[in-house]
Amino acid sequence: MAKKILAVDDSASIRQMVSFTLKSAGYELVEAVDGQAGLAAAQAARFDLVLTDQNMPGMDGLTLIRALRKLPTYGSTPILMLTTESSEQMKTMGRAAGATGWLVKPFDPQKLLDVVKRLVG
Amino acid sequence: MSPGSVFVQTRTVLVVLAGCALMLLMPVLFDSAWIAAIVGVVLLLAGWFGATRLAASHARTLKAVPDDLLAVQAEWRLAPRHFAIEQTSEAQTELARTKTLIGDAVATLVQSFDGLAREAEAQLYLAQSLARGESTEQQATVYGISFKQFVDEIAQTMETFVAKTVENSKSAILLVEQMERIVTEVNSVNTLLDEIGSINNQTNMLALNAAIEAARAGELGRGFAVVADEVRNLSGRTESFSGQIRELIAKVGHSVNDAESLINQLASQDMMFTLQAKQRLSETSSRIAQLDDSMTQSLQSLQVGVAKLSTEVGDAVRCLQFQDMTSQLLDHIRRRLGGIEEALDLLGDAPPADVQQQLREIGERLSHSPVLQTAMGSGSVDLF
Repeated sequence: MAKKILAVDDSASIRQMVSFTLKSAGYELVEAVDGQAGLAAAQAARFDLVLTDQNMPGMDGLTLIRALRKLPTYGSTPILMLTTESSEQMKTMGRAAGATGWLVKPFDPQKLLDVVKRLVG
Repeated sequence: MSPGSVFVQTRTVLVVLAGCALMLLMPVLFDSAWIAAIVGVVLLLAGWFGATRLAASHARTLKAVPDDLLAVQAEWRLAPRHFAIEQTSEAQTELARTKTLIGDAVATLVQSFDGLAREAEAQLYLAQSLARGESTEQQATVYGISFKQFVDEIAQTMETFVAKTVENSKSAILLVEQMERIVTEVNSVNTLLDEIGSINNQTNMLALNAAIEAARAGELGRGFAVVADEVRNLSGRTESFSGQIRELIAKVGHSVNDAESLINQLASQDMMFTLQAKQRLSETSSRIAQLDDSMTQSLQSLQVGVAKLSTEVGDAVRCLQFQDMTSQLLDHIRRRLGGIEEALDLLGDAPPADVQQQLREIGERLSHSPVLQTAMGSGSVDLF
């Protein structure tokens, strides 16, 4: 059975690229346009991995991660931050919030695929 | 100098000049100094009153001018601020439009690259399927057999056919040899018939001599003459049978010769056809092998091409993320323009200390740039 991944990003083109990269490798993708929609989707279904942007209108990525980690079903689920933010300060905040990893845009499709495979198989 | 102060000075000068002129004329007009002084004072008051009325009238006229001038002056002082705010607002609208245009174009490009990559993969799959001779599920359903299987089965059938034909040819040669032996044996029968004919001639001669001797013996040889006649009859019948047998044997011989000829022709034709077919099959197999090699090479080239295309698409996908990055930068520029608008609104409306404080707050709010990258190289990956 295909692993389910939730991609949260306010940029339609980034969602398209993530979807194109991961669907080609056989993963099932669900997209959300911001943190609030991502949280709702995560509560409605169980995902094997969550991939989120940081800067989004409404709820940002760090807030989403903190909210997800409070849910019993997402205590140990891999959550990756995929963002343009590249400062060490932000990465430290991400780690503290409960992120599993930090990928800086622009992402290389193969590298993204390698990381996802490593985390969920 | 304000228009109001100009009016006051003008009125004062007019009154003083009128008073001085009347005072100078009084001694000339009146004999009594008292009368002249009283008339002078009255005239001076009248002049002052008239001048005041005139000046008030002028002041009313002049009052409208300075207010308009003040309004124009204030408007000129505020014009650059209004202009800057208006241009900032326009710039924000244009930034939003730029962001929408780039987003729309990149979304289409991503879709296009996605389609290209999928199409290339599908073509590679088809090419691999053709090259390996594997039938896809649909092909198997429609045709039930692949091209390679078809060629293999034809080759196998031809091999079996050739083997059987060679075997038949060998049997035909054996048959020809057998026919030749039959001809030899038929000829042996003819030799024997010749021997029978010779015996029959001698028997006939003996019977004739016996008949002559029986005639010489007269009445005593009559019985012997009957026997001699019977022997001669037997000899004649034997010769007749020998002739018939010879004719039949000759016919058998002809038939065998004809059969031998036909079998020879058949055997040589079968062998010729079979050898030619075998040669053609060998050539066809060789061509198929060459075609197979060529297809394998083409497939390898195609695989290399698709792998290269995949890398190129990956690079394109990475570089197309400039849309997200520039979009975030454009949003930040819009926020900065909003900050400039706020700062312009502060001009002249608040004490300097408050302005400094608010400018600091605006600056802090806008200090964090969401994108620091200066190139489109692949971003870092950190797993915690």
